[in-house]
Amino acid sequence: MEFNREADSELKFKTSKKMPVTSTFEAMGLKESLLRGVYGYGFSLPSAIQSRAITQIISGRDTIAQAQSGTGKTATFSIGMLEVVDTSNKSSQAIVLSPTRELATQIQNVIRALGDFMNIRVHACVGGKSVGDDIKALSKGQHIVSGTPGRVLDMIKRRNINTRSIKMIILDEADELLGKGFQDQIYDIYRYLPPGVQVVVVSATLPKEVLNMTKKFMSDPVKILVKRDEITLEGIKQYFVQVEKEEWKFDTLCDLYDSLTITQAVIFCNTKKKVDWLTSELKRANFTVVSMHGDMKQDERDKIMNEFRLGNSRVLVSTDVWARGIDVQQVSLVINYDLPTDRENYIHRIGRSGRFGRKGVAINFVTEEDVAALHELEHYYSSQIEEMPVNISSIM
Amino acid sequence: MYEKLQELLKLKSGGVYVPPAKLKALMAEVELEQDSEEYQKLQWETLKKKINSIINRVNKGNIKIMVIELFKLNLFRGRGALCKSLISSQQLSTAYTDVYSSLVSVLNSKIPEVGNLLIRRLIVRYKRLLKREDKYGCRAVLTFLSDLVIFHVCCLDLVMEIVLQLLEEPSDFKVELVLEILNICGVEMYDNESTWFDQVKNTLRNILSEDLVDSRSQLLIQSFFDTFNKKLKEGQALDEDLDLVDEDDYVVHKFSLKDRVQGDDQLDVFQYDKDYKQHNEKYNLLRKEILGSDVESEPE
Repeated sequence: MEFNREADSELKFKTSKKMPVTSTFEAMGLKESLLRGVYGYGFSLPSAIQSRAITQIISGRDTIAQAQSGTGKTATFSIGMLEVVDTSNKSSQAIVLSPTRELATQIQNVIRALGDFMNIRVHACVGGKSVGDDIKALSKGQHIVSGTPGRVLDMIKRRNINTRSIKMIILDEADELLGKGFQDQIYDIYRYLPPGVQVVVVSATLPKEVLNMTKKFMSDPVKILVKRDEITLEGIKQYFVQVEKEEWKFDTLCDLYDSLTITQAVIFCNTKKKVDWLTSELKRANFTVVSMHGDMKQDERDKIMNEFRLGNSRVLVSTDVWARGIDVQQVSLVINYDLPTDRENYIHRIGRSGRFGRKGVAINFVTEEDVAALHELEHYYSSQIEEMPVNISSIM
Repeated sequence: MYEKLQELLKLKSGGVYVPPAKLKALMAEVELEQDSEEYQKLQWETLKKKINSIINRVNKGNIKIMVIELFKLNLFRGRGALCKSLISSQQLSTAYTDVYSSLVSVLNSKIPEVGNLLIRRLIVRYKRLLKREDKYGCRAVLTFLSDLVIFHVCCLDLVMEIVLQLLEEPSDFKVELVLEILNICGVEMYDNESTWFDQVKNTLRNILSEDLVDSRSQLLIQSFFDTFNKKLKEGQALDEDLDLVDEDDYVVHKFSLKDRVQGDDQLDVFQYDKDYKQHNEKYNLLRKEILGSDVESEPE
């Protein structure tokens, strides 16, 4: 696993003054058991965001960190948190909140892998799972809880999570969490936490309203920010194909598989119905494929994510429910079978490829009606989406 | 008709991708003689694409179907394209190395030229990437070679030679590559060449005690020793779904780093074949032998 250092060095941080940069994990002074986990996970040197934010988080200051997809944000707060947690003390010491169940489960897995050599206990507390199981797991003592706001709040109210020893709360994908849907639950959780709890806010996009909101519960936070213009997903090449008609899309998709090197791909459609249709077409063509949409139950979604992450399926067809934060290392291609209707989702969708500095490619299928929408996307992200060249095998 | 063909070729080289539906419509109007160069060229493009598409789709769950699909194609003619697709896919995602190796083991048991060419190309590639100190590239190549050893396509001696070569002047980069090989073939080495393997372990211990590599590599060596003992206890077996070749059918290729191997890159580009029909018929016979006569042959 390697970050895109070239792209990293080009990032311009609009950051608090005199931000120290720690260029190796050792220099961060991490305990050996954690260091072993970090190297065992495949990291060798910290990425830009990691070399700046980890030591700040460890120092105990409130921190706002914004960086593009695939720069190692999850590991940033996970490492910071693991350094601070005292494993000789059984009580819960840190909470991570995320907007989706998949994300919360995935964060749990990252923390578990990084904390492999330090006997960390971490539990994923998400909706859709049995409350009884949560209570049982929590009663055994969990150093870290990674969860979705609703279930975590519920567990706090029932006193299954004891908040007395909580030192740190992390809001991942904070723009989502501080939006209308979750806001109240976040405030409620915050009220249960001890005074002076450290707050860490992380996201790929942080609109002004959200930044303003953080003032209500953060004190003099250190800021590590990237300007919006710079979130262009460097390292991801974006193309469009004039498929002209909707009916030509499927043939085009098969043709891409004839010509490119694709190990794992995520294909986004705008409707659940389209997802189902495309999945069955691909199955008929002997693809190993899974699909996901919002109507699915939690355990079903977990199973599918797992299949895909293990590589048992090489294609995932999904609606936007999947667009955020989930990271599957080997995805090399994202195809927008339909252009996203919401432009913020575009960056979350195509951010699925090219993670950790791998070369990624995003291909947008464009019918005649979509041309205007495509230009709007280009304009909004001030980035160029080129027409796919004929020698497509050279792009991957 | 000739104009249609010209239009087709122009579209294909026009710089911009043309959706297949448009091409298909044009293709339908073009008919060509089998021994004409244009015909062979279009067939060659189709062959390359079909191979590539299968490499993009193959997986644990469908490997048996995909193997048959591949045998239907003229793999002898397409072996260059096949190896090219395999190497670039594996490089992009080493997580599928076992699937690709298993696929190669089946093809190789019937058409040994496939395994032979693949190993030669991997050796050439390894030598080049090592010179460039391209850690990720080297690592992917060595993962592939080591897996091909496990799947009885490549001899164990080759990877043993590589381990010794890397340990001559150990560095962080080289130690990591050695560990990659040992993690895959270590048990095999331990079973077949236990004295040799003990020596390698001693060398690694020396590297630890002499502080020859940075602390990260030292931690990696330690983790290797920890996990290797566990692995020995549990024993190592090929994944059932991927263990597809009978012992009698193994064709293990012997290579040494000292051999001056070539990658035969000319196989990847179109060449006019004046005995096109004859070669196709020859392959058809082989295909019937492999798949049985009830399998429909692909028109080529």
